[in-house]
Amino acid sequence: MATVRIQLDGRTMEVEAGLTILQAAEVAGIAIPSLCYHRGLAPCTSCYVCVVGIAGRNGFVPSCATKVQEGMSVDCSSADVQSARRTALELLLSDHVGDCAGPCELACPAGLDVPAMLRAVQQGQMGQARSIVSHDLAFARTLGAFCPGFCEKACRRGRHDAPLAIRRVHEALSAAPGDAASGGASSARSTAALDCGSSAANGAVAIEHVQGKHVRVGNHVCVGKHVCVMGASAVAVSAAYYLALSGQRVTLLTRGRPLATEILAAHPQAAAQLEGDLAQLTALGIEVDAQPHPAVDVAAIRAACDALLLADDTLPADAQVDEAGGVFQAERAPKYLVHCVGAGRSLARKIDAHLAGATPPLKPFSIHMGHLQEGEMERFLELCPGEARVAHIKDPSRPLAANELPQEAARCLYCDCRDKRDCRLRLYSAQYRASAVHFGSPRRRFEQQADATIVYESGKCIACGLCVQIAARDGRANGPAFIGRGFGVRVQPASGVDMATALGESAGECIDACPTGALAWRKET
Amino acid sequence: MSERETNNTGTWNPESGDSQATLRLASQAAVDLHFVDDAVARIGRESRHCIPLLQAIQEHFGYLSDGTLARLAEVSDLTPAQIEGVASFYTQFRRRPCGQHMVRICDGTACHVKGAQAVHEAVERHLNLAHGQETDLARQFTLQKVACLGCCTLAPVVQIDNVTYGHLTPQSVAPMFRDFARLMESRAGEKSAPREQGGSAGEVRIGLGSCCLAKGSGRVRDALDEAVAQLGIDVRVKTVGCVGMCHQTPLLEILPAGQEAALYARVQAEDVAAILRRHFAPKGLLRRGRAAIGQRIERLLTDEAPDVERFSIHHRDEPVRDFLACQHHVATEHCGQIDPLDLKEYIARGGFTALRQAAGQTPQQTIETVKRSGLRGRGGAGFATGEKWQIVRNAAGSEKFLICNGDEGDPGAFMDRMLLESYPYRIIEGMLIAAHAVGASKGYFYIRAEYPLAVERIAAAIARLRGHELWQRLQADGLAREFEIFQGAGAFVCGEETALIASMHGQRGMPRLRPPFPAESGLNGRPTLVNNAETFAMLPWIFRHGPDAFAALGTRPDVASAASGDKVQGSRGTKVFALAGKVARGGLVEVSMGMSVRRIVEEIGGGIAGGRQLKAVQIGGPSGGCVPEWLCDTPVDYEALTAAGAIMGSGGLVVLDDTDCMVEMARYFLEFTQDQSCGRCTFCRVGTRRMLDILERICRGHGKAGDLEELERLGTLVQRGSLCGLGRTAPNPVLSTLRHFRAEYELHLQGKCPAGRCRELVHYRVTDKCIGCTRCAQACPADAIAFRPYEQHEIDQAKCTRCDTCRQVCPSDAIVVE
Repeated sequence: MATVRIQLDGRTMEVEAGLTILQAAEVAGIAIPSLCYHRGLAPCTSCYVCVVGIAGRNGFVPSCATKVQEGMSVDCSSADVQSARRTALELLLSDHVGDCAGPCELACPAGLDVPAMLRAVQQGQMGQARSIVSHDLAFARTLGAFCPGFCEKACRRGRHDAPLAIRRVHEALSAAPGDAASGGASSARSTAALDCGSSAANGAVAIEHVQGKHVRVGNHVCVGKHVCVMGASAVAVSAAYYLALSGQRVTLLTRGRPLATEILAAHPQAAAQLEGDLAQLTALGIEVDAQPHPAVDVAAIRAACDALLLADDTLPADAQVDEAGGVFQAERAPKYLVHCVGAGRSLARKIDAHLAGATPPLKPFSIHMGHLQEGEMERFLELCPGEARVAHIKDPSRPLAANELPQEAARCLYCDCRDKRDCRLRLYSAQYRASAVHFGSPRRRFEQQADATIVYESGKCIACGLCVQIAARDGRANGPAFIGRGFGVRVQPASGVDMATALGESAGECIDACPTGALAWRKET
Repeated sequence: MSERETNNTGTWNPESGDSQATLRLASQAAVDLHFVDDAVARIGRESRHCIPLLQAIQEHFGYLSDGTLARLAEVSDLTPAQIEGVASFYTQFRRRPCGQHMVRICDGTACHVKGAQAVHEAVERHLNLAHGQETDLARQFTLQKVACLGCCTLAPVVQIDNVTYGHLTPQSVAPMFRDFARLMESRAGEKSAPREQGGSAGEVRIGLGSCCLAKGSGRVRDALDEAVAQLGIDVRVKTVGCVGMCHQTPLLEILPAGQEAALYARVQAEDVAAILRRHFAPKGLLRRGRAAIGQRIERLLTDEAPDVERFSIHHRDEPVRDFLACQHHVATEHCGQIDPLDLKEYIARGGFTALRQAAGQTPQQTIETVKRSGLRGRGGAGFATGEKWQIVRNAAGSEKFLICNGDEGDPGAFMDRMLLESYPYRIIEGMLIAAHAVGASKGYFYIRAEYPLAVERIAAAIARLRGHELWQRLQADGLAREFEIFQGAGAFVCGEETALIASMHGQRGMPRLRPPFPAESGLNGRPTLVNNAETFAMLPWIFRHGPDAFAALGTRPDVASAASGDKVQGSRGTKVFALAGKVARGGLVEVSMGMSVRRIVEEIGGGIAGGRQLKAVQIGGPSGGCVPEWLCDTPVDYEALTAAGAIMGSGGLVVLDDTDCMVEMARYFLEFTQDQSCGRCTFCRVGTRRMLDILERICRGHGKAGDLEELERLGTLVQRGSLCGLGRTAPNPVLSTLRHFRAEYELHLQGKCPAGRCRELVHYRVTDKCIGCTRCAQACPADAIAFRPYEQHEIDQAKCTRCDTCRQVCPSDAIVVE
């Protein structure tokens, strides 16, 4: 095997001749992002996200297609290269139409995955829908009854007829008889516990949800560390809830006060729901220490556990907060319960990351398409199975029948991206802190075409041509082609053919290869 | 006039036009598919035949319908995916039906700076087209904006079918359409009778380059034949290629036997008989009246100011010898003297002796000769020609090709067109020399379809050469090669060699990463030499006069840069430029390398027209930059021009005066390149568009703080992050103007356009110089000026579209731009 000596980021190494820089970097363990490179296909050299610098040349080269040469000195990671990559991503984002996360889930301060919940309901998978709610929400029952419903205000469907009745669906799920609340939470807990078991051996794992469909990206480590949460407020309880869900051993130090009384103050009718929600704490194994503890010795408590959260507003202001040392403090309690839950959740994530020795998870990147232009709502409605709203959906005195839940959920427009968990454009945009609005240019039109199985959103296409290449390789005469040129270039099937027909049997490979959510299965798989 | 209009109604009747179109459409269904079948049988069915097939189908049906393309996919090896991809890539192809006549409005650089936009709007108004609408309701005319018609010296130019109109203004649009209608009527009994006989009394030469034809040389030629026959004089009427003095066309040169020659400029058909009578004694005609005629012709002699152009702008011309004095003709040797297609004459003037000389050497020696001459590629990048030949020669493989790149896409350049039209044999000879040197078995001409005359001349030259006895001798000596012409379908990026080859393979013209270079793997995967038409045209001279004579012209690497260790080659020989824009005398010029840009503009071009100030010279088109007035002493040299922020490029040289806005120029070029980008690389596809967004908002007065820095940042990234030359050079016009004219950009950020070009930053006002003649009110297309005889007029700012018409028609300079 012939080899060449090259330098990658200053490290001299001997690599196989004929490799591309991208391949050589992979061998060396240097991560180079790339959107349009796909193993087994000819390099598209289109996205220019994989650019690297080469000593002695002013221009960047695409590492996916440039072969290593003897004596080549490659710059894979300098600020110069990173800034070029960020700009490439920002340019792509400036011509990328869609929402990574739906407006509803972005609006929810507690981070409920509304679209996933609605889709589970629509498909009649109530168990999964419940576990999504209980996984995402502390105080799920109380919120079901009393949440102000920011999600509904953001719901895109509201611009057409009426927003989805998200809170009512959530309420019906969390208030359902039998195992509604306890079952959901305990099953979530069992998963968390399972994760803990395996993590003991291999460290970082993702929290996986009950049905195995709902993957949370992140590298929290569930090692059963002991966290003390001092406080009795809704924020404190929420933080304890999420910490327990991710597998920590949690002690709630209430200093003799009843839990979450501010909820009752705001919503006197919430007693039943609150009771149900608090029962979850026991189910999750959270230990509640109700001793008065008039004097607080923060250092002593901290020494007795792995991390301490101060969420008690009666504490002295000079309590030593030291996040690096494992002492965290909650901000002042927000007005709405749903904000308290959100605050508790983000504190829990921060503490999880601290315990795992990891940096706090990146804020997930999301691009927004904003207001719809004329005719775009119709494009959404074309793929939306639901039509009329259940007449009495907003009437709290009338419980919803079993068949009415899926009927309402079917009205969801599917605003969020079908590829939001795997999209590499989204992933790298978060990594490189790219701004979706850097260029502030008017966006192109939202388009989507679909058949029973696949959806093609041309507005999310980055014109890399992987699908063009795959279809051509498979001999699909009517396969997709580049149409037009310049900024207006589009990937489209030959005239009179829809994308599913154009791709035929190649669809699966094309969807896997597609770096964004432009090509996707119509239903989540 | 009114009589003509009445006469025209028959042809112009919308009703009849429409029903004709319907009839044609109805009868198409049956005929269509046969034509497609025949075309496939005639042209070929393989992938590489894609573009010629589409061209043939469009030529026949006027556009590419879904039906014909579906049939094409059925009867050929082409897939619908390939057909759609290719048909949508090239500007030439139309997917919608069009009117009976195509109106092509040139948006080249020279036309742009001379008011093409206003002409475009006037044409839209004339045809009652809503903005964005292409075809008029009667389906008579379809409007199309084209990148460049290559008639830059006639700017602004409009072509209706194959008739070209130059020096247009919004006011001359209506007369243009009337003239075209008249022409259509008289076309019925059209005849063509080439006449090249005899010549005892002398010779009459008429230039028939595209520019000349555009200015009516064809009609002059017909009148000449007629007059010669009528007068019964024995002169040889000879067509010659481009004379270079495009600003003076149609040009007629009279060489009476034994007398001094005379040159007539801007000759019109009706003047021809009189000119002939002046120099040649008419047989059997009374000579009386000659003195009377003489006075009328006097003004046509080029040494005086001519005033015969119907639609011309007026400017005083300097003597012709100034135009020619500091030129050095190598590629354009014998300019204006030889008939482009006269093979005998080409041979008599030493044609093909260079090939003989090269053939006397080994291929390696031939390459050494070229290396010694210092010749560098004239297509723009300036790669050493000898080195390129060496790579092709050294490349493994028994089959090699060579391609003459005549895909001149720069919207301000027409050198390749002129050379191909005027010196076809010289280019063929150059190609044969190269074929001998690199061992190529076949030569291809890649010529833009927008240059029909060049295609026609090259095809005719190849045919004549094959029919000549010389060809047998060349064949016997193994020097003859097969030639084929490929017509480019309209894509600037196809000037890049890998894109050019992709299009010859029947693909979209998308460049690919090099290496491998075409010199190693090109056409059909074989080693392929791609050289510019001008490069080939240089070769015969180099071999006849020796490489040292060529190297003696031009510049040498200076000591300083040679010391830096870089391989500096200097710029040897001559360079052909298309000189256009605000210069008094535009045309095709060839100068020694090293001449300063200022001398070209001042001495050859006669300075700025209309007494304005020289502001900058745009060199290299969309890949080049603007050399500001204070750097105009920069010599014509690859490295020196690059240092000044421009590039040698293919040789478009557009002169700008103080009424040209540099921000607007940058916007213009970027609009061009972002449209011409193949769409592959993110930086080029989206980056140029985002730069254009910023420039557009600056030109509208909506620029923001930080815009200039963002333009620089993004421009640099586009340069560094693009795969081919198009993307790498696309930001040059922006970066060079930012470098030299930053203050002008900054004024735009404050909402001011000092040149008065950016419409949304200026307004028109009538000063008290107004004499109340009402011309502006009559001419205003937007009814923004009330008709008030003998009073000072006023412009309604709300209605004014800033089309500049009023200022142009005002006889007392009373309208000012502020």
